[in-house]
Amino acid sequence: MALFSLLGLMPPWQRAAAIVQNDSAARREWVYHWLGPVEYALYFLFYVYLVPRLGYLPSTLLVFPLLVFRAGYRERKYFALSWVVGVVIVVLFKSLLQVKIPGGEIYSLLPDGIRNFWIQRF
Amino acid sequence: MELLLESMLAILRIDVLLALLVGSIGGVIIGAIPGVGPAVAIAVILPATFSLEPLVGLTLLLGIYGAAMYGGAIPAILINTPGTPVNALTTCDGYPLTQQNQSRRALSLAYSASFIGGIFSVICLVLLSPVIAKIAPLFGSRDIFMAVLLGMVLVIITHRGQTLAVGALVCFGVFLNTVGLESIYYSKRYVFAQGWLFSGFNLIVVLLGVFALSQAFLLLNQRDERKQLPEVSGSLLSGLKEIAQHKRVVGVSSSCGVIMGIIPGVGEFLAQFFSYTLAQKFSATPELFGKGAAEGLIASESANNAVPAAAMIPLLALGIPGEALTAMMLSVFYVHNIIPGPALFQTRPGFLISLYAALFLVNVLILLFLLTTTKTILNVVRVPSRFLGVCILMLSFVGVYSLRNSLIDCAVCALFGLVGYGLKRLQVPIVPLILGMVLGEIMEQKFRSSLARIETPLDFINRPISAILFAIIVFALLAHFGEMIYRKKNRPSPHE
Repeated sequence: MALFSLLGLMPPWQRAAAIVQNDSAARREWVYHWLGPVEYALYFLFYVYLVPRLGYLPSTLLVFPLLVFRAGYRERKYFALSWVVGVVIVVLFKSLLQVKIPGGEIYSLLPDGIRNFWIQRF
Repeated sequence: MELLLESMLAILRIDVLLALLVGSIGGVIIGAIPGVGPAVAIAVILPATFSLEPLVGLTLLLGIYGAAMYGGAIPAILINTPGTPVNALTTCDGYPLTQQNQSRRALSLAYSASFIGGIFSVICLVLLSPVIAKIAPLFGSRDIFMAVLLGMVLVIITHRGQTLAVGALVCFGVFLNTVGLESIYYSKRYVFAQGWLFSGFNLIVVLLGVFALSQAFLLLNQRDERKQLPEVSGSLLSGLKEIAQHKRVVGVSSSCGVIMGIIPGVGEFLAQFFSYTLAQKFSATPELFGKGAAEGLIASESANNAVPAAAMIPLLALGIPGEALTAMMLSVFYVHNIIPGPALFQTRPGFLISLYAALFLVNVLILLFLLTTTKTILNVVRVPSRFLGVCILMLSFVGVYSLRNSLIDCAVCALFGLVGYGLKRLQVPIVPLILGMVLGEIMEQKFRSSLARIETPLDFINRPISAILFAIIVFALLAHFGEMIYRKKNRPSPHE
């Protein structure tokens, strides 16, 4: 398996090495394309870390627009859309389909009357 | 008769009807957005369906699967960008028709061909599954082992030019499945004293990573492009009339799709290419292919839509998934303790009849939806790629975190997302990795249960079925290597 992998992947790396050797712009492009997703993977894990603490809805409303900003959008309509889509996702999966996502620790600060509702629905 | 009536009434429940509607409409929209595809949608929604009833969950997933290929034809025809990878060949003849101001005719033909392919496939599912299920009890552990091995060999050799990489991925998938506590003696395999590895790599976590997260990373790395959509006006029903003039093409292509769907590891991509090539070969006007030939469009669309229901045949009859998306649906069966195989036809015939009816209705609903709302659906093609990537990233969280509420699962998913991204950038297919995991598990189970009955390796092929399957494997390998040698010999030398 390891042998197959090495034989299969060597040509692309050789081509990549030839491209980046002499061209700094190509090098930057290569780094951006290969390491850029690592940044988004870290944002994803940050989101996962936040949800059990801040709750699914607040975390989504916080992280979604941040990611939209990071993706390069600056117009207000994209931020508004991110909030709308975020609410739809939370309501669809947590409130309607009752997917098992725990309530946030921060919900313990809510008054008795609405705490359970927020833990179960958002 | 009573059973038939009960099964039909099961379809009319509000939750099943809602799943039909959401699956059909959602699938079309998902397919119409380039860069998403049914695999991403199914990977994200799959864990959420575990809490639904099996018929509801499967109807939703199969609806998305079948509908996505209908929807994928829209951008393929109008802007030369396939909505899903399996609509790639639709661009060859669909887009030239748009350039000739015949976009309405192209869409109409695509919908009609897809509908006929889909319905043909459902009919084959209804007729062939019970037949295969009757033969299935004759399959012992050794026979199923050989059948799964055949599937793996076919996955590898059908990826021409990438057999080494695909072979490595299939083996990697088999390896991933071995990690963790082994199920008979509970021995620890490749855990390196890490507690989180005791339960192994969860298939859904890996699926979400390589399909959904990797696609999100890919979209986030792209630049947004402004898409100019042509006007589509007039009735889309003309395709149904025109397709009657191409009965041979639609019949042969749908049959190709069904055959490719039944054979484990083959799938829509090969079905599409095979039927397109056949249609061109036997056409009276082969020179028109690639320039707006109706036959080319019909061949590719009917073939790829004939695969989903056909891929359910080996799944339902033998418990062996036909391709990656049905492999995902296998987990829905297991979560609800419904074991696919011959016994299913005896213990849950009503469930199967309801499933067949649901698949039939999905195709009808999709066609009606597309005939009336194509102009509205066109707008979804304009969704910016990077915004879509962010949406997929946020949706992937639901799928992976809802399984076990585990940060480790999410980290593993992110890691496989990066692996999937790397594979996609290198244009290496990711499906073999998933098939390796799914088929590897079945292979191991059947291999272990065979060990009690064999003394020498030759005992593996001393049954008629396993011997025939082994002969097919040897023939396939010989044909593959023979073709490689033939191509190498006939390649023109650099000096010519």
